[in-house]
Amino acid sequence: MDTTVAVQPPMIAGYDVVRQLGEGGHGRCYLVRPPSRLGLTDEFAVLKLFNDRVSELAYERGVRELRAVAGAGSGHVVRVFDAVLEASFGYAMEYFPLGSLAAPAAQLTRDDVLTALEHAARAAHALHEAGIAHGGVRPANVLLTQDAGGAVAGRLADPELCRVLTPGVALTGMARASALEFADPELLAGARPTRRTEVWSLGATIHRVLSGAGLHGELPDPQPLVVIRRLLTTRPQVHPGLGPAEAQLVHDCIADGDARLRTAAEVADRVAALRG
Amino acid sequence: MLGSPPEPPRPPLPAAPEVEPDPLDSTQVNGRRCGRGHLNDPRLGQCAFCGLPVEDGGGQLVAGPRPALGLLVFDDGTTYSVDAEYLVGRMPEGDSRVAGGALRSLAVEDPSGAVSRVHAEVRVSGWDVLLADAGSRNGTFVSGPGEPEWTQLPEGQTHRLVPGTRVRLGGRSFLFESPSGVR
Repeated sequence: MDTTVAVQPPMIAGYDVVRQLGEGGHGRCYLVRPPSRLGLTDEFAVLKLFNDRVSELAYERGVRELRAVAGAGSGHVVRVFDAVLEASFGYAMEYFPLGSLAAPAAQLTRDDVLTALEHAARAAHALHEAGIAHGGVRPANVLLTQDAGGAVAGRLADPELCRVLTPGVALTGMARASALEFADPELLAGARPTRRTEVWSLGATIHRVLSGAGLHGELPDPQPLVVIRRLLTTRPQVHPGLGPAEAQLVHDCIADGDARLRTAAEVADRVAALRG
Repeated sequence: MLGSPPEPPRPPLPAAPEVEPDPLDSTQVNGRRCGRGHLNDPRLGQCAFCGLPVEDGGGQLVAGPRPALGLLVFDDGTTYSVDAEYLVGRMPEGDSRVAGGALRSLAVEDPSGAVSRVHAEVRVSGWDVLLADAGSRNGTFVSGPGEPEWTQLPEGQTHRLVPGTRVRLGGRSFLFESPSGVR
């Protein structure tokens, strides 16, 4: 008889846990019912709990970053409701049952995909104007919802807090090395996050979603050093299956020097122009 | 709720990194650039980041912000960029040098309990990455590239890390490597 019992905390920091949604690079996400103290009308929320233990100082840095994100005031950024410090750092945010561009819950048309990508780029631009680098732009963080008219819309989730909680970390132990495919290689060489590095991430995200392939091919997950070296020493290759306008947009997001698009707003405008 | 009190406004994100060298900035270094513009240790013939040849520049060095000097790849895959100086240990955040901002915290969990609260320091000097034991209870050990043996670092002495060096702290270890694999 199998006596193994899946351990699932029934309540975390006042949140009723409904079920675990998944385990990502830095922690676990749970579908939860928010506590009444928050005064929310949302029946469900997502509680993300980081794996690594953090100090109170790091917790304060994380909360300040989340407050700054909330203060950016973009309707295309996922709302964050609350931050918690239990054994580790965590926060509660909106729940989107339609999934993400990495794992949509339903079939999407090309225009749906382009709309979600455009909204993600506009969200990134709003954060940049508020002095914030998202740091984690990738398909899994472009969540899907519907606007009032029923059309698919995108929301940018999960600003990269690891660099705030654990400065200097390029890849945590639980993180999938392949997640680095969306990071501008210049970040691995020590560059600070800027609009320029974020535009690269938008380009890599657009490329993955539209072509199904990574700019550096498929990266070996269990070997972080191999991944980092491949990203730094090989040039990204735009998939030949992309249409000319799509390929040109990706090229313009990852170009060297002044040829790269300067802002996420420019990326958003170019994505919008791709729609039929 | 999270939004209260609001975070003070921040200046908009810059379009690109600042590149003008400030001669009074201690993080400025003199080096040589590769064909893609990465600033490198002038002792290297190939770029530490992309592997391209480093331009001689007629013997002249150029100044610029010090790039990350390597990677610390831990035994669980966690990878840190050496773009700052670290205090490594079980609970380094409690140290005044971390609280004061002089060193960055690098917390490692060790089920064996053999890692001290403050165990070792990773320092940078010019283009060199230096390791020192920080008065740990069980010592800090290094093994150079190709060396099978571990050597304990004497307290108070620094050891220059070259790519391929393994470091052991209690039951944990990490590898110091250059990003591109150039040695």
